[in-house]
Amino acid sequence: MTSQPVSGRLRSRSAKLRAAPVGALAIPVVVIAIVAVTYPLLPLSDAGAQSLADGLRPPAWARGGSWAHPLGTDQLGRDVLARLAAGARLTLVIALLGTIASAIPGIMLGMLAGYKGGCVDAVISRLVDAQLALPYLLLAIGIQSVGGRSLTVLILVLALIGWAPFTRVVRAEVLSLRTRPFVLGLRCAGVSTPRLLMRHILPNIAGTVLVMATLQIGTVILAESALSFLGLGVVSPQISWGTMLAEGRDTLVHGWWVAAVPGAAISLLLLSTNLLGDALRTRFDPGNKEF
Amino acid sequence: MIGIRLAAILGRAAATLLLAVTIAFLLTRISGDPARAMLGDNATADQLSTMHAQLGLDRPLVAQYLSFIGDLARGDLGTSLRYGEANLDLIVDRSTYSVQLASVAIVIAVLLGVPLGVIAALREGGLVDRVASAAALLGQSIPLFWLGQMLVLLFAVNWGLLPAGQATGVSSLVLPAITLAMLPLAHIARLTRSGMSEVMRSAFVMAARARGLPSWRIVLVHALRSAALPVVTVVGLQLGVLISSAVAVELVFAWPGLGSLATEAVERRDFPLVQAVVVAGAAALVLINLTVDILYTVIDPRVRDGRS
Amino acid sequence: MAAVASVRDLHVSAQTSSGAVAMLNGVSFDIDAGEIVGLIGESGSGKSTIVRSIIGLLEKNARIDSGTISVVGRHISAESDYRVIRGRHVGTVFQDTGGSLNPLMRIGRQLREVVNHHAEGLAKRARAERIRGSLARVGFSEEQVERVLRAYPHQLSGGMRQRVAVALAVVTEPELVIADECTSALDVTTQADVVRLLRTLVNSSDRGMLFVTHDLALASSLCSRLVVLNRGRVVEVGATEDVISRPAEAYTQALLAAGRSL
Repeated sequence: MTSQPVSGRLRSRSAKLRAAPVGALAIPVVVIAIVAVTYPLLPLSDAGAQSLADGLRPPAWARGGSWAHPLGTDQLGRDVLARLAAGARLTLVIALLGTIASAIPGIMLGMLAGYKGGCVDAVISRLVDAQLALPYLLLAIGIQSVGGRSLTVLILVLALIGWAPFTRVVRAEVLSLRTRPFVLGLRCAGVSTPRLLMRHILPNIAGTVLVMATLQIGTVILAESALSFLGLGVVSPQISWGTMLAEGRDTLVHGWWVAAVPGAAISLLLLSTNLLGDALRTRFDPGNKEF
Repeated sequence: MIGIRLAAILGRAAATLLLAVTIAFLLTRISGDPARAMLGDNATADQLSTMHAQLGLDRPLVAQYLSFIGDLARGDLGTSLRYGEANLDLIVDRSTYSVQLASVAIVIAVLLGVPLGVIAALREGGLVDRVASAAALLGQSIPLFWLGQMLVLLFAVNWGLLPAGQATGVSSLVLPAITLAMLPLAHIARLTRSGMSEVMRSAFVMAARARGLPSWRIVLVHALRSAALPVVTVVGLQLGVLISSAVAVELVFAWPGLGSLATEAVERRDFPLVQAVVVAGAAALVLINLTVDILYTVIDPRVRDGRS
Repeated sequence: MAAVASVRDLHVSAQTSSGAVAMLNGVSFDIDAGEIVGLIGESGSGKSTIVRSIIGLLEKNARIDSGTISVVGRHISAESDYRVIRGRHVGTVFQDTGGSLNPLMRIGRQLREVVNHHAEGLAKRARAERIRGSLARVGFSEEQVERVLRAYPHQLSGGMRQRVAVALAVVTEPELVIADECTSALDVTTQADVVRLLRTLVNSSDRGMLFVTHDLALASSLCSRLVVLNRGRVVEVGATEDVISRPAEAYTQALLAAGRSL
């Protein structure tokens, strides 16, 4: 009858409810990914084909638009829908690479700091503080203005702005794991540190890391689009949703769709990844609070 | 006791700033040749070496670093190659605009976000809660500068209600401030909600209710004060993020603040100025964190006594 | 003797993911003035549910299905009734020693708050005397009282914090005092102090006390009557000596046996 504390059962109920649509939330992301991957095979016009006569045609549902260009054309007559699909590729690739590039050093440093403690921890923690004290966009501007606008520099910049949050979170988790009986047992058994970290601690923090990574993708995408918007990120003729936003800057009054479409796409993608991250967070730790 | 704590906080802030500035210095030197970036790819070797000399880049790295730090200590942020003025003056000048914008934005975010979070927490699962959650999610997913553009389209171009940009008085502040406020609003509302939720479930709140204290008193006097700690943290964090968000938003609204100074500096390849803005941004962030730490000491007596 | 509080045939259930779960099944007992009634049970037996029902602070998903509760002769059925009795006629001391005090507020202010809310008729000086009096009653000396009033909870020891919690509960001179497992988190010496203190609170007054615990031995040393709870049902009720020497139920026997073997 009253064999189980009621509050415990309540929590598992809401956790179940919220965990269910995790799969559903991943759908938009998957769709976009599929579009990005299969782009060359899709029946779309050439993203780079210019046609000044067709410049600034509105989307199909607006006055003056047609289904030949469902989402309209930009000032050079290029089909917005095609560019959107083409841009999806670079946007996603950069998002993934940027997140992975920041996650790997972030996790490594976090594990080191949390596990070793002492001097190592102090140094790494100070580095984290210092990194977080640098406004990310200004730093990115600073580096890119000197280093140039290549993709490599962009990924490196994104890695630079992203590693610190990973380190903070991983460090905290490892700190609490370190005192757990199973870790102490392994240490007594003489297991070497690298093996312990990789084989035993890493799987235990995998959930937290996954949640962080999912949420970090959004930050990376926003950073890339902000940088491209400012003329610093991706360089034309390459297309990313960020560059499309930059192109839409000048045509805002007469061609609102040129900027509205990529922005809406970015928002949609981010909505999905954020919801996904939240759902994952609930799945892995139902008792966790919002932040 | 408080004195020691304050000294410790100040010391840490200074150390962080020094380290941050050092990192910025190293990164900008390592990522390429500032002289080449300024002169373009077609620069001749002569032009490059002249520029190197002018920027002091021909000295060994350590020497550069030392004079960099030395200049900073004296408040000298270098001279803009384009404007020919001291960077510090340029920055201070434009900062007033940014501070204006940022203050209004954060005030909007707090005035709207905190009550929203409180109501959402008190009526968990209710309408306000769900609307606030949805709004918070949107706020985190929409690129701010894009939102700004859309707002300009609607309010300035289509409906002609508000100016599209430039700092021409109070009405021109409205759109940029609202745009900038969106992200902090989302985070503040979320964190207030979770903070309040947790506090309302705590033992001392139940004990206070058992003592017969009225609900309004429990919420406003007891719960809110406890929830204030994480809220202060997130406000500080968001102010820091604001420094970055402001760059793109200022561009969209042609707001003559520090952010647009940075973009102009990049467009004009004014390396000393870019470096100076990065340093100024870091200093501002460190200052904000410092204020948050001090506020913590003020709000929480446990922190004052060195515990918790 | 007038009953300070009485509970009759109380049924409480909670809504969970698997439907309604019964938490209390027809609980009845009285508390008379001048007596300490012990409410014994293991965790999950429903002890806190009874406490929460009396003060009207059940969890959001739980509700009283049927039964009556009356405190100082007043029939309690709606939130308005609870608001009248909470803090004024019923004082509760909880288990979490430091947790029932606001960590960000000085003790004096927390005491003043309670007195100001419940005793508006009293003059300012009378209120200050009440506060000092309640701290003295829980065992603080005169110099200690000054220090305690100005202190924050984290600056006091666990035992002192619990005494402050008791003071907060009795400063309004309530007729019913509920001690909800308030000794469980304390070490043995402090436990003995608090128990002694609780006894003095009832001995010299028309007050009644409900002493909630899982420790049968502790309860039998303090309480004149015992109510034994098992899974939401009262399985035994009577004078302490009777319950101890001639337990009617197997469950009580098991509890006793367990206590003795320890």
